[in-house]
Amino acid sequence: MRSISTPSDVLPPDGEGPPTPVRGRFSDGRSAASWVVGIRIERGHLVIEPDVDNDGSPTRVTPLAWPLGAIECGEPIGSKSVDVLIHEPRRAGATVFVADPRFVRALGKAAPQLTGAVTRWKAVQPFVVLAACVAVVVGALAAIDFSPARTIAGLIPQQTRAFLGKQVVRNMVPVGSTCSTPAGKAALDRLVAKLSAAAGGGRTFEVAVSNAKVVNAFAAPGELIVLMNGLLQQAAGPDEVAGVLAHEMGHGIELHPEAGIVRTVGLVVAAELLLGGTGGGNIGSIGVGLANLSYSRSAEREADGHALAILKAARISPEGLAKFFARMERLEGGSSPVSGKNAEGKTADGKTADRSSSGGSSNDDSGFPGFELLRTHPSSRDRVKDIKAAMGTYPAVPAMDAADWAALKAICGETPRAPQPGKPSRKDPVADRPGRDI
Amino acid sequence: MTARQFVYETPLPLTATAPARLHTPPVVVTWRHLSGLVRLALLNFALNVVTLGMYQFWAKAEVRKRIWASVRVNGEPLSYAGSGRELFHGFLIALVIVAVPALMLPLFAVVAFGNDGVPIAQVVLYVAFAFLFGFAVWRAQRYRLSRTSWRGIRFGLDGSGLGYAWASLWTLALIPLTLGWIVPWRSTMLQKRLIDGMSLGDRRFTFDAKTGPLYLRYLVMWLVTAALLVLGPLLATRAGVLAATQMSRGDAATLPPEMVAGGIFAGLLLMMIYGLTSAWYRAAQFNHFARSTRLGDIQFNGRMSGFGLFGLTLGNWAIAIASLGLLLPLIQARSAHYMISRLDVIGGETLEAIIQSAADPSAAKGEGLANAFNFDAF
Repeated sequence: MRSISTPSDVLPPDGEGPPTPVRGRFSDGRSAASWVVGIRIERGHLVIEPDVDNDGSPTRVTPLAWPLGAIECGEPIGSKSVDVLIHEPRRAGATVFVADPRFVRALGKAAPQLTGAVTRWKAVQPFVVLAACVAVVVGALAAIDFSPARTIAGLIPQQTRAFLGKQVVRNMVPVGSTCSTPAGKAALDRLVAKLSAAAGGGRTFEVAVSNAKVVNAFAAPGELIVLMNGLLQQAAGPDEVAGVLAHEMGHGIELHPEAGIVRTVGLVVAAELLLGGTGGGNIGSIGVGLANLSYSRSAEREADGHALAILKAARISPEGLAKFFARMERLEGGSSPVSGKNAEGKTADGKTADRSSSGGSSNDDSGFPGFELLRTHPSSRDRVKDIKAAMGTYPAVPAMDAADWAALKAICGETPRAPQPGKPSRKDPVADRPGRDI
Repeated sequence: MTARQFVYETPLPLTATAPARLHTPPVVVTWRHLSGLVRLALLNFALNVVTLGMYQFWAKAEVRKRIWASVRVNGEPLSYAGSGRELFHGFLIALVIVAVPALMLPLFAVVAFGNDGVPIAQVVLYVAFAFLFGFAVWRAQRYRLSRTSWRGIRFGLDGSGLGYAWASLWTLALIPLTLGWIVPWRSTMLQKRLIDGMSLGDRRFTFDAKTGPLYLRYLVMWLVTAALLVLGPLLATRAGVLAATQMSRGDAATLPPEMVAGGIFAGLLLMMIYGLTSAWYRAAQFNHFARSTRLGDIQFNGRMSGFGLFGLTLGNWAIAIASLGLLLPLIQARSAHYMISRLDVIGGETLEAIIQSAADPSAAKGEGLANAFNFDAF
């Protein structure tokens, strides 16, 4: 045992500790035996003195002094603590257990680094600084419109992107519901080739048509585009389809689908990390799902820019695209909730207020087609204005001739209807059009 | 407070040479009431959010210190010497060794074998995880024991973690093959591997359980489970048929409320029966294991009851659901309290003669693997 002085040299306490002597149990860490000791706080040290022996005579052992800055506690001192276990400096093995609440409070005051509040703050501090830096960096990146997901997406090799795209298409389009009558396929291929050439960069896009009633089209990774039959039927002319395809090609050129996947994976991992520790993992997954529902407006503007460039290079008027979006906004904005049995869902005012209640795939068999397009492609006046501004600035020819257009419209002639999610597939082989005139 | 508790929870003028008490047991294990846990849990959650989840390791360490300090042997607390930093390092190691390969493996399998690679990767991952789980149990136990001490004397765990993991894996594979009959033997065998390696200072624990006594209770539980497994789907299909006939009969697109309520009630009743039987068995298992464990001249006894354990489990579930998992420390403390209150210690006159072991306390690494499996002591 180390000692600092003989008992007679120990100075009287100078008011740091409680006035009455406090007893504790001391173990030397070499065996499980324990001794009663007197303990007090003095001049930044914990002074431990052996207690008197059973027969009343003081023992011959000299006191210990442990510096308050070096001791550790078995558990952090709190406001309600009634006892404390003190470890020798550097956890060398000796311990003292004191069951006196006043002493514990005094110790907490004399050595605040032993309290729970201080230990917590010491642990949290570096991470709070780190989190603040991360927030600043993320904010700065967002301000200059830098997207790490987009950069990472650019690093994915072409084969992997194509593979990913095929997986996505396989998930979204059930096997056997791809439309491909020879004439329709030929017409489509001609249009796609024209647009791909106009897109430049040596890219060749591949377009598949799915026999689904929803009015939608989406770009999958790896220069793949899926067009739904519902959109073909709703389109009033080949220029509109060409416009939509050019828009989706814009998404593909900007790697938006790939970036979306990278973002989702990143968000899932981040949510697991952040919330997994506190059991909030489920909340995180829901949040991630919600965050990924639609493209951002800036993404849409980028795609629009490419679409206009492609249409211009292919000498197709952008009026078709503008008209199509305008019509879709009118229709979806005024459409009735899904449960309605009547087919005439639109209201006269065409408000977009209840967009959230409409859209999504229809559960109703008698056939209000789901206008999903606008739910995943937010529109705005500016976009239509920009598109309209490009109209008439160059000589345009129709995207395809009448024969090709008729063939394209009938491309799903003999294909069985693709089942809506959540609905049993109908056995009706004939593709009946919604029969709505716009 | 009983007289026995009072005697050992206040400091005594008892030195190493004092005569032993004749009418009170030399070793008493009690539980000190733990307050302020709800506040601590909420505070930890807030700090977790602020640090983007990084604080969870320190939060866990602090909760453990509080719970360990509530276990009193002869009035003096156990001490937990682990830190959040050790848990954090263990987590990082586990991330590199476990998580990243686990994520990469399906990708490699697909690249190498095409679409057929996916089931191969899944099987490999499943087996690897089952092995790693056993290993993680061992490592976590060793880490926690090496960081636990009483009166400065450290606990320890000797033996081979890989051996334990292998034993856990091959017996796990046998469970479906034996229709579950191997479970009691497996639990006993794994517990023996753990306890036989445990030590307090220089004194080792021993475990001498025979599985025999457990099998009677297990028979009852097996029969009840089998009955429920048969009954459950039967009831479900009956309910489905009833529902279908109901819906096709009228134009009401919804089921009558009595039927839904009846279905839910039946389901809950089946779950309660299973829960009670399972708790009854687990209590018997705890008592049996406790009675089979020795530490030198100290013997243990368990007094858990099926109803008590069932009540504890129900309460824990209620707390977990109501707080969305935030009040996990409270659940851990409740479980520890119940276990300590049902554990008796017999004998132990030579307790104070135990001397410190020579093992280096910093040998055991943190329990990153156990963290990766989201696994804890209780």
